Amino acid sequence: MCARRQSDRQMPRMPFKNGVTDLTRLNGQEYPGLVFLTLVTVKPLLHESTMHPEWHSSIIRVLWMMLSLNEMMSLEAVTTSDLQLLDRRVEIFLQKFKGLFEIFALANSKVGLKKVKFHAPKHATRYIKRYGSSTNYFGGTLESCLKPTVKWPSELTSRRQDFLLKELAQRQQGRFSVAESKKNNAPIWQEFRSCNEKELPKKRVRSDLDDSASLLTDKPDEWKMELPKFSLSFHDNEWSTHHRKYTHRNQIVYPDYNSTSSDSVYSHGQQGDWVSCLADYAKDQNFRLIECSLSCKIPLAQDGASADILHCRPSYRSYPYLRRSWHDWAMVHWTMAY
Amino acid sequence: MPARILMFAKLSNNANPMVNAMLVAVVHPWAGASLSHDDMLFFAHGGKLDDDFLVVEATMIEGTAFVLPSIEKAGDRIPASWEEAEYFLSFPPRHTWKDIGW
Repeated sequence: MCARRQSDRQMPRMPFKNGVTDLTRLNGQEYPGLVFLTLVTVKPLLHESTMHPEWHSSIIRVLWMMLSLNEMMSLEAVTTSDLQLLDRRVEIFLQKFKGLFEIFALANSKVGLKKVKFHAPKHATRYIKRYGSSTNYFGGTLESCLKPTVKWPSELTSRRQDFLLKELAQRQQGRFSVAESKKNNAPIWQEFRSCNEKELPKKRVRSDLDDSASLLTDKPDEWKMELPKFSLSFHDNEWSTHHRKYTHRNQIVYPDYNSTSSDSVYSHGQQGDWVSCLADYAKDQNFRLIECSLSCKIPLAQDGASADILHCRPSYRSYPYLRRSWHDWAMVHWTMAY
Repeated sequence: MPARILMFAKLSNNANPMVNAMLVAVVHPWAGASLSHDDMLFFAHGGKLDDDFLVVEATMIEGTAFVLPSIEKAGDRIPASWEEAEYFLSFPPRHTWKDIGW
């Protein structure tokens, strides 16, 4: 849960609902996440009574080398010097691995580490030279294309093997027909809308941007804040909290935004302290309105094109009493000692 | 330094009309002034959270961080949730992994 509810998209995926020891149905992409979690969870398991402390650091170093080599092998652009470095590092890794785990491998079978899986990394540089970056033969993208064309349509079939192809083709034809009719009927639909525009009730346009996106707000470029869930206003030297149409007059509270009742608040955790801290800061800075949001979209530091969403929700897709929160971690650049 | 984000807020309607609205975050910061490497997991930084919450301007947030709860030394109780955890591990960004540990 702790590993999954984080917004750093660069980290390996760690969807191990059954724990890190259940290796069934794992695919290659999931191994970096598995090794990473093993590294984290191995710390409480290694202590002096189990083995010599030197072994601890060796085990951790070898596991980390796996992750590091995986990153080197999956670079999108590889230079000759990178390949030479990779070749040397693979050798170092294999020697370390052999020194550490060979006795265990021999205890399990006479073959020990004399097998293809152990030897294969030695050929990594040769294959990269021959076929280019590993992204060239990465099958994950193609595999994910099968989701909309096979996996999701197959849910609308009878799931009988002998009829699957026919029924998939029917679903596909249905989708094409709908798309084509939408395209053909678009002018007629537009004409109908323009005729009845005055009669149609006007809907409120919902956007993830409120006026916080305006140029008059001091914020980092490209940041998009979610619509506020609740707000506080300062009147007569007191803060009042507003949630939906309810006002907690002269009170600083964290409203329970999941509840159907507008007046319920978070009373068990420290949420009230967070709002108080915010209200004190706003008062010091002479601000009289606070609009609180639970997430913010920020551009990804690496490329700037895609975005991460920073969540700060006391209960995410859950009931408040279960306390399944999602509070993201961020790197904060302190400008002065605190 | 890593910090746990607790709330985002927009502050506006300043007594001085010349002051713009600003975006801030309430965070639970890492205790101490600098990051120190974990004793066992050499590639990660270990630390505890500060006692107090802080309000920081959004411009001070550089990006996401990946932090997991852990134990400081052998024999400590293993935390089952964020709330129980006292010691945390902050991991380096993935693009730097290839240069660490050799």
